[in-house]
Amino acid sequence: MISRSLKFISGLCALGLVTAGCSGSDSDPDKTLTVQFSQGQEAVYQAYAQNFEKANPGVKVNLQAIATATSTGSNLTVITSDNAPDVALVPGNSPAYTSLVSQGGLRDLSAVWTASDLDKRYPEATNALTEFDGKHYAIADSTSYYSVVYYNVDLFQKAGITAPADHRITSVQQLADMATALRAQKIQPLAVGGKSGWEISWMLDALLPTATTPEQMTNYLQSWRAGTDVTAKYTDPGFAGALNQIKALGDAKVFQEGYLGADNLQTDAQFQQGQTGMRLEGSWFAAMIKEANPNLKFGWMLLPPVDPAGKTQLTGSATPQFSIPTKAKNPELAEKYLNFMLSDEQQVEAGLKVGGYLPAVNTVADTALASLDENVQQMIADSKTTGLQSGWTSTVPSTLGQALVDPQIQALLAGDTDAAAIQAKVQAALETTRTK
Amino acid sequence: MTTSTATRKSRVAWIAATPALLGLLAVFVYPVLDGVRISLSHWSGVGPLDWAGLDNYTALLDDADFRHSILITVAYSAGVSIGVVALACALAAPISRGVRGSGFYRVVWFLPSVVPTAAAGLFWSTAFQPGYGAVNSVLGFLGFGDQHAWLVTPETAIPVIIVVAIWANLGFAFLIVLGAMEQVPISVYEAAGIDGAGPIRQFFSMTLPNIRPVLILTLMLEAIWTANDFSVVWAMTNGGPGSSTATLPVLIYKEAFSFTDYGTAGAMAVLSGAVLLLLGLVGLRLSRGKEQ
Repeated sequence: MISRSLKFISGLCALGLVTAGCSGSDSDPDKTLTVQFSQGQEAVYQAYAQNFEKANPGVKVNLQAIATATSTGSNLTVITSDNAPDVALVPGNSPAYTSLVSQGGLRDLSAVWTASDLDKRYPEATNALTEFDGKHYAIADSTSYYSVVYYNVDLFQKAGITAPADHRITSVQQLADMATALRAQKIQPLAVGGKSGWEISWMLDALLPTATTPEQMTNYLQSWRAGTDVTAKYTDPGFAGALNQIKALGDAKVFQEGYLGADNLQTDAQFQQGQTGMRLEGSWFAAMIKEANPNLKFGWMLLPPVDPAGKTQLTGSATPQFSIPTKAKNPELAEKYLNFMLSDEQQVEAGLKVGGYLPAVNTVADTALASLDENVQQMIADSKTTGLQSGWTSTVPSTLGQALVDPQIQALLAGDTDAAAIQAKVQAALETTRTK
Repeated sequence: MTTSTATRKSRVAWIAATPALLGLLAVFVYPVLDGVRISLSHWSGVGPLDWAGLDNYTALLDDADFRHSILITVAYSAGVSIGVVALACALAAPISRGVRGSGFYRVVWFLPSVVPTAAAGLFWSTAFQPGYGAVNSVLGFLGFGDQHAWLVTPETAIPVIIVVAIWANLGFAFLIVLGAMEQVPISVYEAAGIDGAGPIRQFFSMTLPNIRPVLILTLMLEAIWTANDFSVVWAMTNGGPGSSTATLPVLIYKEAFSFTDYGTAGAMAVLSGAVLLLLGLVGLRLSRGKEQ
């Protein structure tokens, strides 16, 4: 009797253990997806994560905020470690991305491309940006316009400035006149966060296409790849023209006092509080203004072209930034997450509605874009009629582009170097990049 | 003591020291050797190292940014260390002599050391902005204008960064110097007073010579810490405009994490580490020599 009771109890315990093991699968570590995202964009990526959890019961998304400086540097060691995230933040124009791909640190995302039909749903330029040796290793989850000059409507009115109806500033002198009129009212003119660096080189992205032919510009965007012939050198007059125009803007005092030492977030806040007349920013900034100061009336313009006969286009970028490390513990679930982010529904629900981000894919219905700020809607319409240019620093590896030219352009504006010296450095970097 | 007792004691000492030595090997010797290994290779942070011999070191000889950074680092380190020690002496002297409210001042002068350096850098970088910065606002209120762009040229940015670093680093040096001054026997001052020396003469002729070893050591430590400091410079200017205010740690950071050129960054780190090690040894020698 005792023996039978013991057997029964033992059996019950064994069954209990098995059941516990099975029921434990809900909190199994395999069901936790670790996703990195860019610090400062919490709201958008929390929305993606929450929506994904809702659509996939039992899955927990663990978000990790990564600072910009970290994402291009020390995050490399995390991505290649045994504790690699499932979805990693790797800016596609960073040397980290090139290093990871060439060393087999990132998974080929062909399955994501097929499942999300990205060959068709991504614009051609985005597909080209994400391609590396014929494969894709990173997705872009949004598109943005940048190097846009926002202006404060009330301050412009106070200074007697009429903003151009077609959003185009035609010359350095016109922008300088706006700056002078604002200063006369004790208002700081065009605010840029020069200390942060990248905003300064955004101007190069906006101006370079206005100083070159389309063929030269295309070559600048592609010649860093060893297989592409170099037909446009960085020592050519076009590149010099863009650099000299930036210097001319500095000499004409169109920027706020102390702009080279100004932080970009502080500079954002100054414009949002109505302390500066203009602000160089991106399409995402419209939503940030609305949130910080709903009563601020603002419009947008584009920087003056180098060739006065040319018509400036908006500068756009869909920088790929999300990859799946080879050492990710849940690669299939990570692919599912990327497909989820790229669905039309989530592009609208999380990216557009929460962050004001423009969709990366071209299948989102126009009606969904109606919730965007009217200025951003104008930019979209403008890009459809006038065209969109790819930003040079967003496209080429940053050892050739952003990381190299940011401090160089700072030095140019500070009077410590000249265009010819920068051109020589960039040309030398091109040759190094091609041999790597 | 017999030979066998001495041998036994020596063996026990080695056994007792072994865990610490192993720890030292793991957390100091190994990283240093690995750093040297990286400096002798081309490496992007991923995959195997690509042996480069002395290429990274020879390339640095022609690197204008590196040479400029050395100058900036020397100026920054010297300015901060001398400033900190001088100010610590000036503040500690009256307190060590029991000036009224000395208990209060002990706390006040130490307080900046409690603030995280990065936070201090961020606060001060805002304070020095034209127009809305606190420093410029005060200058504007006093009639000197409020549009001074302190951080946009190296001529003004470096002195400002030095001032901020002195502010941030003062507390520790102040406590050390105060402690040394309080060790000077009161009879020394009484004798000097009888001989007619006033407080200033006593300070220069009695106090400073008596605390000289501590001053030298503090000066060397501050010089080394400042030369290794990253956060104040980064928070104030990011090393810019261009590389005009980039000290060696900032340049090393950019080389490693912006350009993923760990080999060059490693070579810079090894060279600066060697110079600082030499500086530390000189400091130790000087302070010990006087004590002996």
